[in-house]
Amino acid sequence: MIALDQVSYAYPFQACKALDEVCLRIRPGEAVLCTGPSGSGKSTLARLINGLCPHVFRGDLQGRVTVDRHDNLARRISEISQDVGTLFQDPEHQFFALAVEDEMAFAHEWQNRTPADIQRRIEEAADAMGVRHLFGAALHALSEGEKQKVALASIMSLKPKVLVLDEPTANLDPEATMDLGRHILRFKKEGMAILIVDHRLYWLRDIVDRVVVMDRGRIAVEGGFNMLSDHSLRAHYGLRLDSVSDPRTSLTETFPHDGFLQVEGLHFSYHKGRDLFNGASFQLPRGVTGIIGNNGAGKTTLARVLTGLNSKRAGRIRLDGKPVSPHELLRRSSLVLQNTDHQLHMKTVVAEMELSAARVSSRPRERLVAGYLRDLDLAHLVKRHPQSLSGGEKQRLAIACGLAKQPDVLVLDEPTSGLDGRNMQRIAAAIRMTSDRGACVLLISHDLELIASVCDRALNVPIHTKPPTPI
Amino acid sequence: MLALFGNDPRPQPTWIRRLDVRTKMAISILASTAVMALNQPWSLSLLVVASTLYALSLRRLKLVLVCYGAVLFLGAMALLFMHGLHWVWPRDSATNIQNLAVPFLRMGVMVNVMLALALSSNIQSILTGLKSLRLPFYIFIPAAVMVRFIPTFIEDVRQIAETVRIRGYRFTPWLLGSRPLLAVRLLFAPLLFRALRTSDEIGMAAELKGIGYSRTLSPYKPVHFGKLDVGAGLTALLLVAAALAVQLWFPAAPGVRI
Repeated sequence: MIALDQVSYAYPFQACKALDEVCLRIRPGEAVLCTGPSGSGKSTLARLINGLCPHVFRGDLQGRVTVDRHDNLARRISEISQDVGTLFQDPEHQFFALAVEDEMAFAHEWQNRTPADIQRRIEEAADAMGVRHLFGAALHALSEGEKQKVALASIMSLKPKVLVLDEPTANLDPEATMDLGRHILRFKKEGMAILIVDHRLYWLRDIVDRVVVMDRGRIAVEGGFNMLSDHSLRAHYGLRLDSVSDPRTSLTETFPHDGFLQVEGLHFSYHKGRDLFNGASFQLPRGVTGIIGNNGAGKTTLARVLTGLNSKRAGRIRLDGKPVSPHELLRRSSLVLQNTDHQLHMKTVVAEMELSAARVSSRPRERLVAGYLRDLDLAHLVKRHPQSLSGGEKQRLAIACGLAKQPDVLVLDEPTSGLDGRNMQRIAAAIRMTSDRGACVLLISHDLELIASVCDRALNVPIHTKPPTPI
Repeated sequence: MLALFGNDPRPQPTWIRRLDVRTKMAISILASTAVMALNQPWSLSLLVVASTLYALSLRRLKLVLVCYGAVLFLGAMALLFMHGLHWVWPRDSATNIQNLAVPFLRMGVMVNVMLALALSSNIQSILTGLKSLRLPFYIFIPAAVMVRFIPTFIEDVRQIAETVRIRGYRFTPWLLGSRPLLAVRLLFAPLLFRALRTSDEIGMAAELKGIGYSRTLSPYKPVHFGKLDVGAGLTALLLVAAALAVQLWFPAAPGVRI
C-alpha cells in the first residue's frame, strides 16, 4: 500500500538530507511504528507519505513514494488525501472549521457528496469513535482526548486506505492512549495500512507488526517490537522504555500539614460557569508533586490559579505560611505552558534566558544562565534565534527560562510531550535539581515515564472537597 | 465557532444571526463602496448611526465597545500627530475638523458592518458564502484561510499576553513608555512567528482535507435567502440612497478632501 524506494529528501536551503536512501513498505492491514531520536527524519517520512513533502514544503526529492501504486509526485495533495488520512500530534493543527459537525463534514463537501450522504458518513464515523454527542460542540472547548477522537472520526469518515499518525499520544492521558490503541487495532482489521510515528513505545506493544528505528535520516534498525526490550539499543538511540508500569497508583497522596504551598477553600470557575474547584483545600510540600487527572479534568486551570495567572473566586493561598496575592504568586512562580511558540520573544537564546533571569540576584546571572543552558543541552545554540529552533529545542528553552527565574513554585505543563528518551531524561534531571534547591515543583503530565522518574507524590484532579484543614 | 469570537459559549438568538451570510457580505460591500463615494460628514453620519444600530443588534455591547475604544484610540493618536505636523508645518490645513471627521466616520461604518459580519457568522457559513459567490479558486482559498485565521490570531494574542505576564511583565503604559522596544518585542516577535506558522498550518489543514479536489462544493447545510434577507438588503440600499441624497443636497464644503 505504501512504498518508499531509495527515497532521499532535503528541505529547501538545507545542506543535510532529512531522509537518506530510505526503503520502506507497509502492506494493507499492517501497522508500523517509526521511532528514533528527535531530528532523525520521522516526521519527514510521514510528510512524504501524505504529500506535504515536497508539495508544500518543497525541497529536493529523489526516489519514489507511492501510495496504492500511485506516485505521490504525480498527484496533487487533494488527490493524495483521498487515500491518506493524517493525524497530527496537536489535532488543532488539522481543524479547519470550528465546530465538530462542520469539521467532520468539511472534507466531504469538496467531494461533491449530497448532504444526506455526508450526514450518513459522518454519523457512522462519529458513532464508531464515540463522538456523536459532541456534534454541536465547539472544537476549542473539547479536551485533548476528545479533539483527537474527533480528528480521527473525521479521517475515518473519508474511509482512507492509509493512516499516518504523527506523535498521536503526546497530549493524551494514558486511558485515552489505550483507547486510541483499540481503535488502531480495529483499523488494521479493516485493512488499513498504518504508520505510527511516536516516541512513546509502551502502548504499541500489542498493536504494531514492525518497528523501524530511524537515525540521521536513515533506517538504522528494523524488526519486531521485542527488539525494543534491548536496553543497549534504546540507550544507543535515546529511545524511551518499551514497557512502563503505571506509577499513578503507587504515588502517595498524603501531604504534610505544614506544606510550603497551602491552599484553603479554593473556589474557581470560568465566566460564571460550573465550579471547577469548589472549596478545595490541600497543602503541597517542597519537592515534586505530580498533578494527575484525565484530559479536561482542570489540571492546567489549577496550575494557572496556583501561579496567580487566573484569579480565584474565593479561598486563601499561602507560601511558607504567609498569605500571598495573585501578583506575588506570579512573581515567585514559573509556569511553563505547552505553547512554546508564544513564550519566546527575544533575538537570541541567551537573551531569552537573560530576560527570565533579570530579577535574579542570588548568583552571577551569566553563570546561572550558562548552567541551565548546559544542563538542557542548549549551550551550542546560544546565538540562534529562539523561533528558529526545533520543537524539542524550543521546549527545552522554555523550561530553561522557567528555571532561570529561580522560582519558589515551578509548574510544568506537559514538559516532555513529543520528546525522545534522551531529552526526557535531561528534563527529569533539571526537575530534580530544582526540587533539590528547595522549590515546590508541580508536574502536570501524562508521561508515565517522567512521572515515575521524578514525582514524590501525586495530587489527583478533580480535587474532592474536604473539610478545610486549619492552617 | 464564530468568525471573530470562537469561544462564544451562548450566542444570543438575534435577527442578525438569522441573516444569510451572503446578505451580510453584500451589506459590507455596499457599505465600503458607499463610504468611498461619500465625503460629506452628514451623509456619513447617517450611515454611522445606521451601522451602529446594526452592530448593536448583536447584543454584544461590551465587545463592540472595546472595538469602538480601539477606533477612538486610533483617532486620538491621529489627532495628536496632526497637531504635531501642524506645529512643524503651520501652512498645512489638514487639522480642519471636517477633514479629520470624514476618514473616521468612514472607519466607523466599516468597523460596524465588519463586526456585525464577524460576530454573527460562523466560519463554515462564511466559507460556503464565499464559494457560492463563485469567486475564482485562487481568490477563494486565501480568503477562506484568512477568515479561518482570525479566531486563531485572537487566541494567539491572548496567550502571548499571558506568557508575558508569566515572565514578569505587563503591557502597561509604564512599560510602553519606559521600555517601548522591549514592549514591542515581547508582543510582536512571537505574534509574527505564530501568525506565519498558523497560516501555514491552516493552509496545510485545508490541503490535507482535499480542498480543491473538486471544482464545485456541495454544502452540507445549504444556505437560503429569506424574507429577512430581502428586508435587510432593501433597508441597506435605502439608507445608502438617503446618504447619497444628503451628500447631493449638502455638498462637502470647499477644501474638504476625499
